[in-house]
Amino acid sequence: MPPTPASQQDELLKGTLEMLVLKSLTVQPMHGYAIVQHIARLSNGVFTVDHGSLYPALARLQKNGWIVGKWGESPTGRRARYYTITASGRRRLGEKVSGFDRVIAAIEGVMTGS
Amino acid sequence: MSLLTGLRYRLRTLFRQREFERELKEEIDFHLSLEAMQHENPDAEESQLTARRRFGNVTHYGEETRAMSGLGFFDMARQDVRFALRTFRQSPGFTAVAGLTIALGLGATTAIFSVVNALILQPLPYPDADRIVMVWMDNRRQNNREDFHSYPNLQDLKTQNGVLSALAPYSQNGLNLTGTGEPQRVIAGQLPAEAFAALAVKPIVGRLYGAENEATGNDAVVVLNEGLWRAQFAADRDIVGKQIEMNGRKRTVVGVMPKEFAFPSEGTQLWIPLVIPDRVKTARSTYAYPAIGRLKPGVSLARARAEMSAISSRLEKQYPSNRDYGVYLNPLPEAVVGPTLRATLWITLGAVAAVLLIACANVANLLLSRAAVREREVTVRMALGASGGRLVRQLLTESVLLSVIGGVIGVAIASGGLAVLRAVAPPDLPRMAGISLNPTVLAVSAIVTIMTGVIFGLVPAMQTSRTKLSETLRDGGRGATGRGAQRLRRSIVAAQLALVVVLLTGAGLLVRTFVTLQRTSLGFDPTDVLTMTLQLPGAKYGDNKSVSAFYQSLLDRVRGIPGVVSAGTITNMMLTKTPTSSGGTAEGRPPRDEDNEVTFDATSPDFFKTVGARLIAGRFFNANDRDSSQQVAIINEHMAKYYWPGTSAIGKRFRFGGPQTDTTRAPWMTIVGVVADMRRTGVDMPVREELFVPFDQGQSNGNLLVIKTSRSPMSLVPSVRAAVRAIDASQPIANVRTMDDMLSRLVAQRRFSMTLVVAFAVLALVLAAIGAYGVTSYLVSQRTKEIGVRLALGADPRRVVQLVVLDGMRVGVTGLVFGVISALAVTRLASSLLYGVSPRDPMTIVGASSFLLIVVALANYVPARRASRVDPLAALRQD
Repeated sequence: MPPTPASQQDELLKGTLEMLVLKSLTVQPMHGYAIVQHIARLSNGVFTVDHGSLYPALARLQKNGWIVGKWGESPTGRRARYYTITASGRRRLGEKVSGFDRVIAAIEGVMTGS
Repeated sequence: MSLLTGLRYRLRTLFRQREFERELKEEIDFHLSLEAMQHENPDAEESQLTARRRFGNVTHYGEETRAMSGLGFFDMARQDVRFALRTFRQSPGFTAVAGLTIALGLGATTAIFSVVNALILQPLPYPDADRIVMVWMDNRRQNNREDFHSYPNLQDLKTQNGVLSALAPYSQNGLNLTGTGEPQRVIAGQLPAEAFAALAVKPIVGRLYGAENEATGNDAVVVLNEGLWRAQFAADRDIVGKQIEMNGRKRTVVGVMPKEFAFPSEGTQLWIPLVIPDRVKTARSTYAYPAIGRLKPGVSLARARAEMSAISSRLEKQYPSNRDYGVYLNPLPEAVVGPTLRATLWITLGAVAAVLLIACANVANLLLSRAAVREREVTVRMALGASGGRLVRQLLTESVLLSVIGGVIGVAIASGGLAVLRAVAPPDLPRMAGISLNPTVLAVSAIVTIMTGVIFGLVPAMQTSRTKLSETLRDGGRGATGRGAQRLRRSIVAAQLALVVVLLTGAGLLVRTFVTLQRTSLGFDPTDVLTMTLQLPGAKYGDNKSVSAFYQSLLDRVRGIPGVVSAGTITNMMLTKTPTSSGGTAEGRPPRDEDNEVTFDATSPDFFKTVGARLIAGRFFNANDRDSSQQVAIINEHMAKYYWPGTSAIGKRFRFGGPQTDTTRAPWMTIVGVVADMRRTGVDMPVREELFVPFDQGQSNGNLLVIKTSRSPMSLVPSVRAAVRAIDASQPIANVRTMDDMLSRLVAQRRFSMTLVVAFAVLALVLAAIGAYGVTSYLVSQRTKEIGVRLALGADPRRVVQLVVLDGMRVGVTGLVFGVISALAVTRLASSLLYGVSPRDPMTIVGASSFLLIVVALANYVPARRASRVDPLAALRQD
């Protein structure tokens, strides 16, 4: 059982994962498991990272003040921590997306050009 | 805004950690339960397992989250420290040995280096102290580079040279300070104004006297030292212009010098002008003055030496009496801390550096061995999800913490050691009392030890964290410590042992020197002899009659004191390198070039009996040897053999001066006795030609009173003091000590260096034994399985012990060989400290070597024996 797949993929995904989390939270406040489900559903199961890797990302986002976590009641009646995106989190998402768009556009340009 | 939100989050995680942990666990549990619910039977073990698999390593991600939350540093550091302390408690042996090793290494280095720093490295308290030079007469006739000048020679050197901005004679004297309560003996420097100029120190109160005060009648001035000024005159700033009385003569105080100003010697309490008697001003053969000078700006010591030598060569040609008299320039810093002490301190520093190296090597070795032993623990923790970086941090925390603990104990050892050094240091060691722990030195040593901890903690930590887990788990924990690491450890031990051989040899040589010195026959018996000096002021005791009367009356009274066996006087008991001496002529034998000057001292009749000197021929002095009777002398055996070889010296005649000298000033003396040689210049110094005259025929105002007692000598001091008072209430006594004490001061520097080097050799031996023990223990623990197999197959436990010990001894012998080679190369440097033993003394080297081998064998035997008791079954089952 390899403990840390400290591979390049992981590093590459770190930033992306944060972006996806922020994007998911613009829909509505969610708890961790819901975020994982949301991303998996929308990406058609492309992102199959360890669920656990979500929590360090959540901690980092909270530390930067982009999201806040608050305890609430889940539909099953159990206590769950719901995450909400903050105003600065939205700004951050905007920066990330525009940067991401530029990269995508650049890649597309290369791929579609001769 | 986002800053504030983030900050609130961080503070919460930092200060409410338990809550943070609980919440994180709850969150993850919730996550896992939802995942499990995706399966048909959420409570089935299989569903739970799948959920966990989807989640990944819970410990790992928990830790990552903790790190991400920014709680990170402090929390983890605290955790690391707590964990480190727990591991220390689990292996108290390792902790104690490693911590103590660091403490000893650090403490010893700091203490010694503080001393070296204060005595050698710190500049003297004079401006440009390295430009100040002692200017001596290089007496090649008697092989004494530091002899005194005659005044005319010194004047020639002064006027003809262009390299010194100042050159002046000086002298030192004991004076009786009276009129301030108890009569007191003070040490007075007789410095001309030019000597003050050479030293370039300004008074803190008042002014210095000038050259105009160096003439009789105009010299009634005095400059005080700050210490005396505070002690006797309550630091009175209006002291300038007041008069104090010394040796019955009033002098006007003109200034006060700062406390650090200590010339000509440590403890000089006041300074008076040096008045050169007219007779001495023209006497080219009266050698009475040492001199001090200052190099002109831009002049190198080498150039000054060359030019001064050129002048002295000219003087040699010009004046026959100057033949073989050169000039020797010695920078003041080297003069203050003499060559013997300098060598001692450097050698000790070398020893200390060796000990520190050994200590560091030991710590390195212990950490390496421990890292190897813990390899499995570490791999298990990694398998459980601890990240590599985190583990490195953890291991590093342990070694740094160990260094810090050792360091704290080390500081305690250093200050304790310094107190001991101050106590055992020779009393004449300059600036010793003011030595304290040097913060810079402490910092440097601390950095060195902590770096050792970090480097040798880091290397195995990095190695381990990169280990292939599966391999290590499979082969029973030998992954990162292959043959290479073993060889490194053995080399470290061998190097340690080599250093120990060098230290042990050095210590052995010094001990042998000391024993030789102690066994050397002194030619007199110092046991139960009380000594003290008296100096009768010339103003009060101006003629021979009054001096004679005083001492006669004193000896009579002292003999009457219960407990006194006998009493006598001598001008000087122990001789300096430049004692009172003069050239002389034996009757019927023209003086030869190679003749040495003969010392002379006046003694009372009972002196020889009191000190237990052995009479070889003739008689001692008696009450009939008076001023008016025939001039007689007693000589030592050495002189008798030199001037009258093969015949008896009794009845022969000798006088001071050459054939032309006026016989009324230097009359013939008839030899009436020959005494066995007394080692009066020091036990390790050659005996010279000595001559004694009866007190009345060569009396002086200053004398050493020697009293043989039948009870503890010091207990008689009050009675003797009372006897002096009864004759003259204003007469002080000084330097009250037993003759044993006086002699032990002579060997004090030797004893000091011996104590130091022996102490360090023992310390090094202990540390190296620990090192050898540690490595063998480790190797044995690595071979438990192999030994178990051997025992299971029926090997004799004794064979196992033999095997392990022999293995360890291979390292010991390697170290020994290198050590002996280095010792042969290095001990030569210490030859100036040795007496009566060669620096390559085979006995000492063999002794040191066998001692070391025994200790190494013991250090190996203990773990070997443990190995032989291994339970074969347990050893085999171990993995």
